[in-house]
Amino acid sequence: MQNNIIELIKKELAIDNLPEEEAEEVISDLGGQIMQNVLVNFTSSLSDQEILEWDEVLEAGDQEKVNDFIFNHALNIDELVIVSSREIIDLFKKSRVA
Amino acid sequence: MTTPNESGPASVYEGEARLLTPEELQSMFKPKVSVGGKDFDFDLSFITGTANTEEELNGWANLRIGDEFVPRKDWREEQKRKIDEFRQNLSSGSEKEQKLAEEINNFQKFVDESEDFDAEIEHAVSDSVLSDEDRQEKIYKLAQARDAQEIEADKRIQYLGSLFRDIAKLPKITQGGVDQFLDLPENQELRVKHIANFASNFKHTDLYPERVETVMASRFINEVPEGEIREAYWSVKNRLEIWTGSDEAKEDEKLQQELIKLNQFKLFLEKKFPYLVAVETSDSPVTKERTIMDRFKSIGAYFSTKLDNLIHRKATETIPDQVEPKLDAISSGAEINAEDAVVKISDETGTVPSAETSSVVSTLTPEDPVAPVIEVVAPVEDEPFISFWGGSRPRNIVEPAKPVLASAPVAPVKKSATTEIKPEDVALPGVETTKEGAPKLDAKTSTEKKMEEPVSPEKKKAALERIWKKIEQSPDWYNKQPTKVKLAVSAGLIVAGLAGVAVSSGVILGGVAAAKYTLRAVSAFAAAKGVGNMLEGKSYARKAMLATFLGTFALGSYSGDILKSVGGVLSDLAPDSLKRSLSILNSLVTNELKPIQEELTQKLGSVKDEVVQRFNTADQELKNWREGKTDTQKLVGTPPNEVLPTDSQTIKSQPISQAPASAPVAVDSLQSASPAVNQAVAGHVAGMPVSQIENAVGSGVEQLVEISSGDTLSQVMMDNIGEQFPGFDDLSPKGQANFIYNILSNLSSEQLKEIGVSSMDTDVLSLNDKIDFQKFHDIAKDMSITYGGESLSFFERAKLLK
Repeated sequence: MQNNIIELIKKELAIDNLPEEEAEEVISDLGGQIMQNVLVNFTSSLSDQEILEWDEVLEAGDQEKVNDFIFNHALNIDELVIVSSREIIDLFKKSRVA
Repeated sequence: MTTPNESGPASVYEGEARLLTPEELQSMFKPKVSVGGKDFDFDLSFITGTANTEEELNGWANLRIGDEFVPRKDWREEQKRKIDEFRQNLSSGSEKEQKLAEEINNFQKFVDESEDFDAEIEHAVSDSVLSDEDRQEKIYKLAQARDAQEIEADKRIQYLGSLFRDIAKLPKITQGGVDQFLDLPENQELRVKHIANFASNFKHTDLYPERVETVMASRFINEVPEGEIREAYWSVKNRLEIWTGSDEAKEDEKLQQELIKLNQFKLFLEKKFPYLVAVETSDSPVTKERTIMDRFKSIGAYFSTKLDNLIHRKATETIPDQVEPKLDAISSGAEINAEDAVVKISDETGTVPSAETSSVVSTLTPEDPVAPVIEVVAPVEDEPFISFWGGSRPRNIVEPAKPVLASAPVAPVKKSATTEIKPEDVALPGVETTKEGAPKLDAKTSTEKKMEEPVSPEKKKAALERIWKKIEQSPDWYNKQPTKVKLAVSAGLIVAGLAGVAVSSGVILGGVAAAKYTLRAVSAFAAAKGVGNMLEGKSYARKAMLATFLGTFALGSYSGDILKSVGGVLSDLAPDSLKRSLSILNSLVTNELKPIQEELTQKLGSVKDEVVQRFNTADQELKNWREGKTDTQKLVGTPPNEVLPTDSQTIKSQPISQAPASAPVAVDSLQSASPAVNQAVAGHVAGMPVSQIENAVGSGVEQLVEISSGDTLSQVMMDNIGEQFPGFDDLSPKGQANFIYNILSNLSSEQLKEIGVSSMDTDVLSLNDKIDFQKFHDIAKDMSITYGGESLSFFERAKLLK
């Protein structure tokens, strides 16, 4: 009998009845949604000046500067990720109930 | 002042940025996975950037209960090796040594009879008879027993070390101690005794750093690695310069005597090791090291300023007139490491220093008694003898190495050790420097200048539009990754959301394998930490990792270089798997994901409007303020003189919702934003159940609060603090946030432990935690802050905030 984190997540999201591949695809896609949401929340937390800087950094496309900007401006990046993840999970659960 | 070895074992990074090894990643993050309400160590070894095939990556997905535990098969061998070392150092048959021999035998017996819990764990993992629940319980207990056994062994080894120390205490050395050192016969035994005796004289003085003692107490000082000696010498020299002539020394006779002895030791070292006082030419190793030290110092100053600004978000006029290098400076720190020195960065992870790396040691310089400096010292072999003398966790005993730094570079260093470093070589990009290469502290950068200019609403709106577009595109890169990689990332993110702890950060990075960038960031960040006023290394590393991943995600949609940089892990996309994924995704969009997409799109629009509105409001406030129409206090918040401590907890414990009251624009504007924005920023998720806190003991003074999934410490505090501070509910929202923020920012790890936070980290709560609010009250009620020249309790201070 094999049990793993994915199985736990499937149960938590109530998708354990889906075929394995489909369930994993759902989980995979949720990751993208969560990360997108992290960026939304991160951007929302910036000041006006920081918004301009963020825009400039993104436009310039320098990966390290993007990373640095996030590091320096996300005061609590852990919480940002947690909150953003929770939001998407909650939306997902609600969508399934609906 | 502590060195990395005193504060805890260190993680190792060396040379050019590279992918982290599984061991490094594991030791840096020690990720845990919460299964059935219990936290388990999560072995990252199979999901790190070193994985070369999708098969390797697949390993994590097949994780079984118990796979998180890494067998420590060599533990028993290690103990036996220590026993052999102890025995080898027993020389005569005195009564004390007989006692020591007996204790060594007892330890031998303990090791021989120790249980092989790893084997039992491995057996339990694959035992198909057990139910998952039973297996989980069994493994958990076995792991606890294993830890207890190892802790007991550590204690016994420390005890043996203390016995060795006791034996080494011999008649005190006389005033002519230095000469005696120099005239010592070649008989190492005698020399050892003298050195040990000399060290024991300093054992209990605050002046004396433990590492110096280690050097002095080493049995064969000739074989102590040069880096150790150099470090000891600098420590001694610095302390002499600081204390000699000080008021304390003038008044304290005992201190004077200690300083005399210390000076003797300094002279001894200088005579014994002439290279310590060699003329400092531009190409000498000493000069080189100091140049690097200056560089680290400037990076540290940068972070200090930057973080201070982040915390307080002072109005434009209050930005400290200090160095503000461009962000390039962050990564440039790693470049120094790559070319000029190998740097070992301390964190709290438990990794034993590598024999191939050098140390970053924070210490004081006489020129700057306040700001610590990073010293990059010679590569240091593992400390061969420290376990004999008690102290911290015993280390492996290895063959001592020949001195390295003064004469030749260590293996990973590419440049010759005699290469001259010019000021321009070490200048931070974009930073005006002095002729010595240090950044000019009063140089204003374009960033600061820009912050002084109001931003037009049109400009902000245009910027936002571009950003939203990027965010909408951002999943493109992610969606191109192999299924297993996405699955790894997603699982990490989802676990973080479900468990309410970001312990899965390592999982995220393991999947992304963007360690190259992370390493560079971590190096610089940890350098800042070494300065002594930064965050804990672990938090930094985790944050850097998340920032890296987030940055990669944000930029990935239009930067082809990213895929190259994430290494071989992602280079071999599985076309069939990808096609299948896309096909399934397409079918799922209508069923599972479309509602999410729609809600997210709605949210994007909603948040965007709110942010634009907020910018406009903030912009108007700023204009009003500048025109003197707005009360300065209202905008600026906490007066500039009320500076909250910028220690490690200040940032890491700061929930987004609880920026300090001193945050002028951001906080005020946030409070005027819609609930949607506030929730997004504050962590109160729409539709999410309120924390299900139960008062196990009931109301009153005694109050234990159990943790539910998703709780954060700040939220638990907010929900329960009124029981202990009756006037809390009457505080303004700003006052409440300020009160909690101040307390959380100032709780030490020990205090966190006292109140029941097992992780000793304000960011991480375990489901097994029970917050003791009585203890919390006892601690918090005495915390105070200086305001207007008076000391106010945090609560009194919070009451002033309207």
